[in-house]
Amino acid sequence: MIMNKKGKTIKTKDSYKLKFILLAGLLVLVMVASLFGGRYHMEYGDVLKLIEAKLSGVSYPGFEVAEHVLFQVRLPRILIALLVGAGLSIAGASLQGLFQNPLVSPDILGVCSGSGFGAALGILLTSGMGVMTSVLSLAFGLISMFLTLFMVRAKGQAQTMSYILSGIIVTSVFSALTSLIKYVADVNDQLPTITFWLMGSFANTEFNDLKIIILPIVIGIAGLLLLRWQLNILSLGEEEAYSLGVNPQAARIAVILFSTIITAACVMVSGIVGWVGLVIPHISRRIMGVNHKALLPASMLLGGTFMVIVDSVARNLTAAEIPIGILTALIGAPFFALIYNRMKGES
Amino acid sequence: MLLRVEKGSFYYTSDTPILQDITLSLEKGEVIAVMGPNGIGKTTFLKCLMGIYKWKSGHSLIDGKDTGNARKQIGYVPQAHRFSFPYSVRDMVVFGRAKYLPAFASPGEKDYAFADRALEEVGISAIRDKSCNQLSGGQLQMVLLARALVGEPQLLILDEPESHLDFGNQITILKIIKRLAKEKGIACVMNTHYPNHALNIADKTLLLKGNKFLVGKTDQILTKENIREYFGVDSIIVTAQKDDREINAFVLTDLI
Repeated sequence: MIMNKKGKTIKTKDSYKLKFILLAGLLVLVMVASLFGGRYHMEYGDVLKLIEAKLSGVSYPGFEVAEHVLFQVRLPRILIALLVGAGLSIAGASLQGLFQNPLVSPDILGVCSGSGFGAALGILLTSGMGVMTSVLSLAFGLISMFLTLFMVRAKGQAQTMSYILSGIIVTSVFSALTSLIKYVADVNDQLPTITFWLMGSFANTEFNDLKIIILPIVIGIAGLLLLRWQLNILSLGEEEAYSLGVNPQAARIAVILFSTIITAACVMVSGIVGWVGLVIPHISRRIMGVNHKALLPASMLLGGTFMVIVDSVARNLTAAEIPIGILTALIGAPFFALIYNRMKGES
Repeated sequence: MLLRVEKGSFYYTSDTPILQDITLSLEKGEVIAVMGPNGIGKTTFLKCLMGIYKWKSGHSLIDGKDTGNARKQIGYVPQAHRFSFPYSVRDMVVFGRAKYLPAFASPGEKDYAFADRALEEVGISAIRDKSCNQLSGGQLQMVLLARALVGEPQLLILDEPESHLDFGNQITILKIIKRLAKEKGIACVMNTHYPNHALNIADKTLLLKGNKFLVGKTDQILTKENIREYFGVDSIIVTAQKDDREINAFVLTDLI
C-alpha cells in the first residue's frame, strides 16, 4: 500500500518534469522556426548557414543584409516577443493568485493605462518614440501602481475588493487623460502614432528596446519565481494566510512590485497587448494544475511560446502588419469564452 | 498556564461593544468550549485570540507572549469553505508548514512527511491526492484540522469544527480533538452550538451574550438556569450510566 503511494508521487513528479521539457522544447522550436519567416525573403538554406556561421564566429561575404535582418531585426524582435509574452503571463498568473480571482489580468492595478498614458504623453511632447517616451511610460506605470496602493492604504483595509476598485479608478483616470492627449495631438502625425502604439505592436522594436526591457522583465520574472510557492499561501486570502502564522504583507507587496515592473516594461516596448496575461495562466492551470510552484514557470514558457507564434502570424500574414494587440484579442477572447464555459460546467 | 486572556475587549464601532473585559485562562491539554447565540461574537473572539483582529483593550498571552506575535504556537482551524483554487489535499496540508519556511523557500520532503503524518493522525490519508473542492464538508474540515496540526501547535483554535457535519462525523472530529488534548497536551479553544458536545469534551466553557460572559468549569457553567438565560431555551439535565460512569446530557424541553 505504502509502496503504491510512493510510486504514485514519483510518477507525478516525473510527469511534471516531462511536461516542462515538452513546454521548453516547444518554445525553442517555435523561436527557431520564426527566424525563417519575415518580409525580407531568405532561402531556408541561407538562414541555416547564417545561424551556423554566427555560432562558429565566421562571416559570409555577400550576405551582410541578410545577416543584419536575421540578427538585428528578427532575432531581437523574437526575443522581445518572448520576454513580453513570458512576462505578462507570469504576472497575470501571480496576480490571479494574489487576488484569489482567476479573472484578474496584469492591468488590474491600473499599470497598463498609466504606462499607456505616459507613452502618449511622450509622443505628444517629442513627436516620437525616443527615450523620453520610454521613460515616461515606465514612470507612469509605476505611478499608477503607487496611486492604487495609496488608495488601498487610505481605506485601511487591504482587501481584494479595495485593490480592484482602486485599480478601476486609476485606470479610468488615465484612460481619460490618454483620450485628452489624443484630442489635442497633431492629427497627421502624433495621433496615428499614439493610436497604433496603443493597439500593441512589435513592429518598431529594435535591438535597443531589447537592451532596455531585458533587465526589468528578467528581474520581475526572477522575483515572482522565487515567491512562487508563497503565492499559494497568499491565494488563500489575507486572513487565512495570517492565521497560518505567516505575515503575508511583505510577500504581497513584493508580488505587486515585481508584476508592475514587468507589466510597465512590456507596455513600454510593445504597447498594450491584452488577453495574454489572462488566458495563458488558465491554459497553464489545465496543464499543470493550480499549485503556483509549477503554474508560474509553465505560464512563463507557454506565454513566451504563444507570443512568438502570434507575432510570427502578425509579421507574415498580411503585407501591412496587423498590430499584435488585435490578434491576441481576436485569438484570446473567443478562446477564453470557450474555457470559461467549461469552467462553469465544472463547478 | 498556557493561555491567558486579560480583560480583552473588542468592538467594530465604539457604541456597540462586542466583547467586554473577557478574562480566562487555559492549561496545557485543556479544552474550552465557547458558546453563545448567533452573531454574539464567538468567531470574533477566536480572531482576536489569533491576532487577526486586535483587542481594543486588554490582551491575550500564550506562554506570556502576546498571541498575535506568537502565532507559530497556534493552529487555527477555520470553518470549512470553498477555495478559489482547488489545491490537492496534500498541498493544502503542507501549507501549514509555511510559517517555518524562509521567505523564498518551498516545502521539502521533510515537510511533506509532516503532512502525511498529520493526514494519518486525522485519518484521511486515503484522500490525500484529491482536490479540495471535491471533498465533502466533513473531509474538508479534517483537511483544515490536519493543516493546523502540521504546524505543531501548542494551542488549537477551532471555529465550529463540527458544524455542517453529519452525526457520525461530528463524533469523529470531537474524538480527535479530545485525543489531541489528552495525548499530545494541546490546549483547544472551540466554538460550538451544542451544549452536549461541550459537556462531553470541554473542561471549561465560556458563555457569551451581549456584553456579559460567564466562564468556568463546564458542569458549573452549563446549568439549565444559564442555558435559559443565555439561549432562552428550557431544558433538563439527565444522567445516564455507562460502565459505572455518569454521563450528563441536556434534553431540551421547549418542543415537548
